[in-house]
Amino acid sequence: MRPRRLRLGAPTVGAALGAAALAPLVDLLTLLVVALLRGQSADPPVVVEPGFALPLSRQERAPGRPALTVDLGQNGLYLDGWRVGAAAAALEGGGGRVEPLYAALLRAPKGPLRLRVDARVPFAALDRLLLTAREAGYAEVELVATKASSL
Amino acid sequence: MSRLFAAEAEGPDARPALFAVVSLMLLLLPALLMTTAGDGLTGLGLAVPPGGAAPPLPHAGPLRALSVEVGPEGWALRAEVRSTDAHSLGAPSALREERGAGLGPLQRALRRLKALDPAQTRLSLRPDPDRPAQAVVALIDAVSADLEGELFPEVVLEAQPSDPPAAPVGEAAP
Repeated sequence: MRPRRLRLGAPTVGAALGAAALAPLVDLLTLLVVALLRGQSADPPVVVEPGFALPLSRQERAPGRPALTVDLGQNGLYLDGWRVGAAAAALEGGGGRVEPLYAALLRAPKGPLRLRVDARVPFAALDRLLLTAREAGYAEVELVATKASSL
Repeated sequence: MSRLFAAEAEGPDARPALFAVVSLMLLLLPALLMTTAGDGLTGLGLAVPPGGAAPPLPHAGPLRALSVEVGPEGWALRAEVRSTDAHSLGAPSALREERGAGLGPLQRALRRLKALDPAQTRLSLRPDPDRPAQAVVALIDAVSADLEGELFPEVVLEAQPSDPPAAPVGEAAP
């Protein structure tokens, strides 16, 4: 039987195993990061109010860079995250523009406008938002939805 | 002179480099999870003419104008079609009207009209006021494209006129 040689300064068996175990871990983490980068959206999560849910769409076009964002939930109406009135201002009443939003839009810079409305909001309210945007001088309006393919 | 204990050639220790990569990944993963969202967003461009400006010029192709009115009982499709016959130059456009229910029949009707004038991309959509935004987006998706390709992706959302659409009775002659 051949005697086992001891070498000074040589890495132990445990250390060699540790290095070998790290390589698959790096592979796994790299795969995770790539999968996250492909599956996640660079847009921040849409948090307007509790229970807010965007409509689902089959379209795949990425949203543009808006100058302003108008949010309409079940409770409030927001311009760039700032509450400009109750949702009832758009949800209730007849046709015509939404006055609190119209006054805020007149003071805001002009450019592409992004609309984010709750999926349960009726079209009458959405139509009033579009009318308000048109009368305030916004010609480029985009309705934001969640890609059905991302779910 | 030969050495008593011959040293075997060994490569550098890879563990520090691997630990650095693992640490970087462990930082990247939570950073990505915190700054991004799992739900991808999409933007549906809505054609909104500026207030006070002149309406867009009518389309020059055979399909002059197209509108879809959607009510609780179905949809009504109205198309203004100009004849391509040389003898009918200057003649007024014919109005084609079709009614039905469901998104599939609507897409088939739109596909037939798209075949008449592939260059036309604009459509006016008039949903009923009580239709939720989710259903309106589904309508926009349906009129924008079908399985065969693009239909009318330039959608103008409009309010319905005061008189409601009649009940679907199948296909109406112009």
